[in-house]
Amino acid sequence: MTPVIEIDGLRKEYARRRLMGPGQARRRGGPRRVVAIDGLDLSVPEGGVFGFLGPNGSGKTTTIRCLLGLVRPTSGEVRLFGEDVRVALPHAIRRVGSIVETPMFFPTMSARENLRLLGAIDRIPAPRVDAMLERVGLGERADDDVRRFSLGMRQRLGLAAALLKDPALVILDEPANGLDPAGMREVRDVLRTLGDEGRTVLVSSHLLAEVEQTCDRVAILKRGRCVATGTVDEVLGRADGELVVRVADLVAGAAALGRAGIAVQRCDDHLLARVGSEDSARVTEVLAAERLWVSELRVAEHSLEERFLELTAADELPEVLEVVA
Amino acid sequence: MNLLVIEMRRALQRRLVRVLILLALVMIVIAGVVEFLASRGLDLAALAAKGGQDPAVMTDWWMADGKGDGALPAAALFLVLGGLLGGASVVGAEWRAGTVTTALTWEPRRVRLHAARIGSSGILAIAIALGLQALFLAAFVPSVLAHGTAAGVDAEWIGSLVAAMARIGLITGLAAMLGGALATLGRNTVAAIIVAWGWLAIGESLVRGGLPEYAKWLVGDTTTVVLTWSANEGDASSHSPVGAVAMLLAYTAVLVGVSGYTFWRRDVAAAT
Repeated sequence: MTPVIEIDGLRKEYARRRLMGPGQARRRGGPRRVVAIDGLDLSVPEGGVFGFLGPNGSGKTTTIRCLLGLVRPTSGEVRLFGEDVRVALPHAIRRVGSIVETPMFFPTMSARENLRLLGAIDRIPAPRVDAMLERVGLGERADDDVRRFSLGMRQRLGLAAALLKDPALVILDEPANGLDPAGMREVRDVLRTLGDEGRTVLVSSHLLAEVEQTCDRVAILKRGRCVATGTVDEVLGRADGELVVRVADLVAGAAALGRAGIAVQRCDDHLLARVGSEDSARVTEVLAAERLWVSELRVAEHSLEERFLELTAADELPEVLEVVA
Repeated sequence: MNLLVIEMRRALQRRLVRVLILLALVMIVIAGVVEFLASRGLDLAALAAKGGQDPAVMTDWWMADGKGDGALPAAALFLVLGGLLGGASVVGAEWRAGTVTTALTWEPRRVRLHAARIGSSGILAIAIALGLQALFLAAFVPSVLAHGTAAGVDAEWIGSLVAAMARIGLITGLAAMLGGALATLGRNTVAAIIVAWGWLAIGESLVRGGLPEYAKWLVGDTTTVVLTWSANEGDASSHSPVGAVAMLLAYTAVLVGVSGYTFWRRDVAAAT
């Protein structure tokens, strides 16, 4: 099956001045250009919700802008539905609904007018505009000027605009920004519903707990490169096999396991043995032989946040963790 | 065509465009009332003897004398400035509001979008200018009927008036397109207006004073030729009216083309 999104060796450089704020001057002798994306490879399969994660400045939004033709890649290829966006975007965009950063609308027009004008480009009938406004909970505020909307309401309106085309691919950049907990839950439900309907949803987010609950697959970016990609379980290391082992003497326990050929890492109050759960008996056997009594033994489970911080905190770029089956 | 209509609908939703139209309508009403009051007891013979003009005399609305005299040319200046401001605002507001990104996620063919946006500004400006001119002149009809005269109005004069209105409409449309093109280049309404004013008010004055032989190439002088439909008085090298129209069209085409190229070429990134 052809992936919905394919990115090969994508690189994007910006002039440094573009990335600087007002009043900031380029350091004398500093680089003139900044690399926002540095040889990114990514494949998003059809169907389901794909989380696109990374710290600020890791290149998520630039990647999305490249996908939508808003910025021109310095090099590399981007394909939507198997077609190069440089050629096929005008055709492919009809099947793509998107929000890029904060959704922007004309502030002095109503939500309904804004959506009707957008929808008119694809000859989308007015009743569908009303239906989408209802779907995102803006039915009663549809005739209010957008300038009176909170950030959360603008996000909802952006979501309505993205869904207006009945898209096969939905690209959402931080869709939960500015939403209250109830709004975040609604967005999560909408994303999950879209994924379950067979659409492909690419969602970038900082809300890792939300992503963990919503996404089927994730990719983690760091400094413009993908450092991990796969199903959520795979990226979390659940499939790798790690056991949390708690013994009274961590030093002796680590030494015993090491001598038995079991890779082990000493943490604050426990050991992390890199073996599958099927080898748990061997772990207890080795430790018992050394008269080290196991007080806790369980499969290690990382949260996405822990994994994210682990992958993105180090100064060095880790080798790409390819855990795609 | 669909995109052109959408862009026109969008432009008409712009508050500034509506305010400009409303302002023009108010000024037209005021001009009509003032003229009606001022023309009471008008001595047409004395006026003619002095060589004066008054909109209560219908033929004074537009005097095809090669000088661009009459009530209509006075309104033309406001229309052209309004066109420039409106065109710059319609395009510049897209950048200010950040809606260019939204629009491009629906219509990624930038040249097409740019052409529709600039074209719609021009067409709307022409239509609005024609409508406002008609209303402006209509506001003087009570003065003509009550205190003035329609003597001298014939088919030739009407033809000349309609042609002048069409030329003013054209110039207003081109001004709107230039405003839109400048706003595209600067990605900002204010930048476009400053550049336009800077050139027309200061740049052209300097050229006209320092290098008078180049004056015929200036936008202001060329516009005067188009408006009056006669070569500039005292300037033997002045362009012909048709040549001046071609020049204005060429200037507009170049600026719209350059702005379209930059819109096509440049990234639409967050930092913008």
